[in-house]
Formats: sequence, structure tokens, C-alpha cells
Amino acid sequence: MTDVALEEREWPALEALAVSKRFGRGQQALAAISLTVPRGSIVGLVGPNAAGKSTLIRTWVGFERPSSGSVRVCGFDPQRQRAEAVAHLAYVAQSPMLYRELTAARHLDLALAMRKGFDREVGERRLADLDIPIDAKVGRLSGGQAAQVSLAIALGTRADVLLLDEPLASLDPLARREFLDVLSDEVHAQGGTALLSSHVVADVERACDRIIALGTGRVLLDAPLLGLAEAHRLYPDGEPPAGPHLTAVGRVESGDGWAWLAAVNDGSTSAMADKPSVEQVVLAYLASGRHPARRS
Amino acid sequence: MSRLELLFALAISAVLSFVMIDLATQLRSLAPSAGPCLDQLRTGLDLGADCPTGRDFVLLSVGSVGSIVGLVGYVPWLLGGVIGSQVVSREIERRTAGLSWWLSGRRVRWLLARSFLPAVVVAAAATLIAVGATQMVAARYPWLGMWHNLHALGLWGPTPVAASICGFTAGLAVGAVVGRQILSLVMTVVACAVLINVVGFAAPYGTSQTIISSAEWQSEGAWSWWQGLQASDGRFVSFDDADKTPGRYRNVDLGVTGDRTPEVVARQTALILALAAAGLVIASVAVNRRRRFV
Repeated sequence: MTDVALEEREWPALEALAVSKRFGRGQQALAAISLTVPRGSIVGLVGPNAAGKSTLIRTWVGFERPSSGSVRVCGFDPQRQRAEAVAHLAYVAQSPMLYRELTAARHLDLALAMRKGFDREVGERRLADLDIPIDAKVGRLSGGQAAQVSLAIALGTRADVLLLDEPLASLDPLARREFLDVLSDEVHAQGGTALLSSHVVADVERACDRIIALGTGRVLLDAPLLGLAEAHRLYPDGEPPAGPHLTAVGRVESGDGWAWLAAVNDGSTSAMADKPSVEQVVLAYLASGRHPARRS
Repeated sequence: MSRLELLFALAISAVLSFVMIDLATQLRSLAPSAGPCLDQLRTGLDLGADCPTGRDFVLLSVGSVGSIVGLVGYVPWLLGGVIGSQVVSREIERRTAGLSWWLSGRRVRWLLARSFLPAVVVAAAATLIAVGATQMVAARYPWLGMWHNLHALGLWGPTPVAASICGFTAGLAVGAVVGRQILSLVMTVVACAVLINVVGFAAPYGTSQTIISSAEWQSEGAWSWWQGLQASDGRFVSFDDADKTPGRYRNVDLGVTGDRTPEVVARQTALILALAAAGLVIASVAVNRRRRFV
């Protein structure tokens, strides 16, 4: 392996350094976001509408220019080193960027012609496994099948980083499940990295090993999924829980009413408090972005 | 662009070319190859018994042929512009450009690859039109012989093909900047109208022009860039200025004689190709810098 290749391996898969993005004089989509996605992980990016998820992903793809700050894909700046950055990533958009009049097979041919090292067999195999007719025009496929074609193209690139911008939004539950299973299997098999943006926490739980919650253009939560629920507790509604090892996060629905979610800082847990679900943890952090809790 | 659309453009051009060749054939059948009738046609004198088909020749020449000659000056620009305006704007509007742009970061190469086949088709379609127009224009002036055929070939050969490419790259540039199909189409038509005028004004700039005599008009296929009046003191004045200051004027045409046709064609074609290159550069920059999709 060359020195350059060794250096490339040392960079995280994705980096955002104090990235801000403002559209015109209006809405601020990203507010000085800094985060790192390590190699070999599948990261879920969750947040409400207009949280900045798509903007952040498109910034890594090079489809948006940050107003300030910078992003890197495997160490390459998509604005200044576009060819190098793009060569390390694959992208699946919410509405598939496909030619309605072309077949899935022609899309694989197109990718083969445009992308160095594209593995047509990987794409073909994925489509065959899902019984998606490779010779049917994309315009005649269902939304779920078109999304799978997009994923097959992305996987065929064998890119180091997969960026998936709400690809599940228009899929039925079965199609979502298939999509996530394919994603998880292939990324782990290829040893790559994936960033999956979604509204649905259950989808992220199914496929990801890390979660990042964005709200109003800021990172509200960035933690491994394993142990996330265990590191939080639900406390009865009322005053925010306070204590030397507790940090109140926000109020969240629990059972028939509301509860306070708090982060347990030293790893110790209280027998008096309930363990939350991952969804409750995420929702509490997202709510904290809108209405910051008083901290103990 | 789909192949069906490109074939349609070729078919339209082939039909137009066929119509012009048919008109050229009709003109040739009506015009004599030599003799008094040819002189009568050349000088525009009253057509006598020596020229039984002369009246039909003149009617056809100023009627259908005249209309199509006027049309052919615009068709290559519009043909190129209409096709060019859709190449990039369609991909941006339908978001399919995004697939290519993340698969490969080399967007200029993508633009060139996407544009190549449509550009070849546009050039081929313009060539078909040029062939028909050359035949028709040459048949319209039968007394000018081979020299005028070359003259016609010069004016109606390279220039329309270059114009079609210029219209095409103008459409590419507008499409890349605007990113919407319908808006790009409308703006490209406007851009082509502007370019036609720019070429009309800029092509003669800096040439040494002379007054074209009627004999030169008739015998050499001269090229006029300015029509107006000459005062008795030798000044050239426009028709409007002459209306304001009554005096003695004579009608004159300023331009170059037929033997300078290659120079005219070279200047005009070079200017159009330079504008075409500028359009391609603008399109490349716009594609390269484009971030957002519609």
C-alpha cells in the first residue's frame, strides 16, 4: 500500500467542520455543525423536516456549497477535490435520480461507463435477489423497486461511503425492511461506511450502529446505538430531574402521560427510574432542540 | 435527448431539404441554359416571346423560393437552439444529472458526452438544409454559372452549419444556467434572435467595403451589408436621415463583390464559431459550478 493510500485510510469516512449553510437571506439549514463519521460504521441521521439532514448529505456529495466551514469525504473536500471525493462515495436520493425511459440494466451499463471500478455483477445480483426485472423500464417499476435500483447502483460502485438521503420515505413496510437488510448486509460485507437519513427511528435501529440527531441545523445527539437506552432514564413528569450524575434532556411521551428523560452520566442507573426506548431517547433530544431543558 | 427526438429533427430537415431541391429542379426546368431569354431574366427586362417560361420562373423565384430563402437564414439557429436548450435543462429538471454527477465528478466530460450525439445530429440536419439551400439559391440565378454556385455554396454551406452549432451551444448554456426546460427553450429562442443580429452587425466590421454596382450585383453575386443613399458630396446617409434633410441622393449598396465571397464566408463563419465556443465555455462553467437541482 502506498503512503498516499495509507494516509487516506487514516481519514474518517465523513467529516463536517463548523459547517453552516444559509439559503439566501432566509432559513439557516445548518448552524456550525461539526461531526465525524468513523470508517466501518452505519450511522443513522434522524431529525424532523427542515432539520438540515438533506442539506448536510448534499454538502458531502458536492451538491451544496457550505456558507462557512468545510466537509470532507475520506479526507477530500468535495468542492475543491470533487473527482477524488466523489470517487469515494455513492449516493441514494429520496426520489431516485433515474431515467424513467431506461431499463435497470441500462442504468448499470451507464454506471459501468461512468464509474471506475463499478461492479456490474453486484448490482445485477441485488436486483435478481429481489426479483426486480432488469429489462423493465424504470418508469414502470414501483417506488420501492426504483429505490432498490438506486441502491443496487450505489452498492455496485463499492464506494467507501454510502450516503442515503431518506431513501425509505416512499416505501411500504416490506420494501423498507428489504432495503435495510440489503444495506446492512452489503455494507458489512464490503467493510464500508453508510450514513442513512430517516424520519423513522425504528429503521435506524434496525440497520445502524450509531445515531446522529439533527434539529434546527444543530447536532443534538451523536452516540452509539448500543447502550444508548441504558445510558438514559425516564423520570416522572414535573420538575426536571436533578442530581450529581443526571442531565435532564427533555420531556417525552411515556405510557399514558409524559415523563422526563435524563442522561445518566456516570453509568449508574436508578432502580426508581424506567429505562426508555431508543425512540424515546431520540424524541427527547429532538424536543430539546426546540425547547432546551433546564440542566441540573 | 431521445433518439426519436433527434430522428424527428433529422426528418424535418430532410423534408425541408427535399422541398428546396424540388424547387431548384422546377427553377432549372423553367430557366433556359443560354440565349436571349437568359439575358432577359438577368437584366430583369420585359419577358418576351423568346422566354415562354420566364414569367413562371420569376413568379416561383420571388414567391415560394424567396420565402424559403428568408426562412433558411433562421432555421439552423433555431434547430440547434431548440435541441441544445433541452440537453442539460432536461437532465437538471428531471434530476437525472445528479446520478451522473455523483457517479463521476468530471462534469465537463459528462456535458461533452451528453452533447456529442445531439451536436452531430444538429450539424447533419443543418448540412441537409445547406445542401437544399445551395441548390435552390444556385438555381435562382442561372446566369451566374459555376462561380455563383460556389458563392451560394459558401454562403449557404459553412454558415448555416456553424449557425446550427452556435444555436446549439447557446441552448446548452441557457439550459445549464436556467435548469428548466420550457424557460430554457423560450430564452434560447430570444438568445438566437440576439445572436443573429449580433452576427449581422459584427461580421462586416473592419472590412473594406465598396459601392456595389448593378452590374456587379447581377454578374458576380455580390454581398451587401448596408443599403442606403449617397449624397451628391459623396456622404452615405440612411433613408431616415435623408427624409429629414431633403436633397439629391442615389440608392447605393455597400458591401463586397462576389470575388470576395470566401472572405465574407470565412469572417462570418469564424465569428459564429467563436460565439459557439463561448456558449460551450459558459455551459461548462455553469454545469461545473451548479450545486442545486430544480
